[in-house]
Amino acid sequence: MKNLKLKAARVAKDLSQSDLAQLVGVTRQTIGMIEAGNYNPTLNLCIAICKALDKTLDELFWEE
Amino acid sequence: MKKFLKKAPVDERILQAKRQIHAEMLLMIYYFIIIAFAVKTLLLHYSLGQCIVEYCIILFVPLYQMVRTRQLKVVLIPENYRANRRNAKEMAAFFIVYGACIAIFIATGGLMDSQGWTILGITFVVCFIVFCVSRQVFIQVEERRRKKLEEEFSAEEASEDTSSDKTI
Repeated sequence: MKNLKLKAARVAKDLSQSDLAQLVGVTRQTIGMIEAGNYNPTLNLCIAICKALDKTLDELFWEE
Repeated sequence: MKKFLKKAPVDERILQAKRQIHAEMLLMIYYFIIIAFAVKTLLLHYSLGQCIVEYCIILFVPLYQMVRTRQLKVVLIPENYRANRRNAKEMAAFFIVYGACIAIFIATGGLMDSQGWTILGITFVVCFIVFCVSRQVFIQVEERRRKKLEEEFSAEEASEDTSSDKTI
């Protein structure tokens, strides 16, 4: 399932996938795969992404 | 210099993939070694001294796994494994494979006299019983360890709860 919330939050912060990847210490492909829903990130990475985008875990990773 | 020595962050996805590939690769090598050992002893009738490396590896791997599971405080067998249908299936599969190995050994070893047959038959039955008993004992020990770990973890959780209550 695609993570559109993450993509929207990243775009709202005016960050590219590479920028976000650099901020959280992973490769651009990993961010791409998380957004495409093809990779399940660890909790540590989720928290790092949330901190980089100033969002909470619920806002980015909770599915209704 | 500090910058040079600083470890570059490793992408967790790449790390996971790397670990998975290594695990699969090593498992394949392990199975290959078991097959090599079986071929050497059953088909080519090599002595144990001639395939000592394979023999040592076959013994070392489960021992290493046992030590590491204890260090990492995990139990790999599923719950209620003894009464599980999978356990019975695995035992049946082992019996068939073991029987097949003995059959190959006999087929490639030439004719045997009646004494040889008796020794082989007794060895077959004794080895199978020893394997079954030791396996069941191992499963029992692991299940006991699981209970012990659960008690340990719940005790830790309880002590953490009481300490956090005191600070509040």
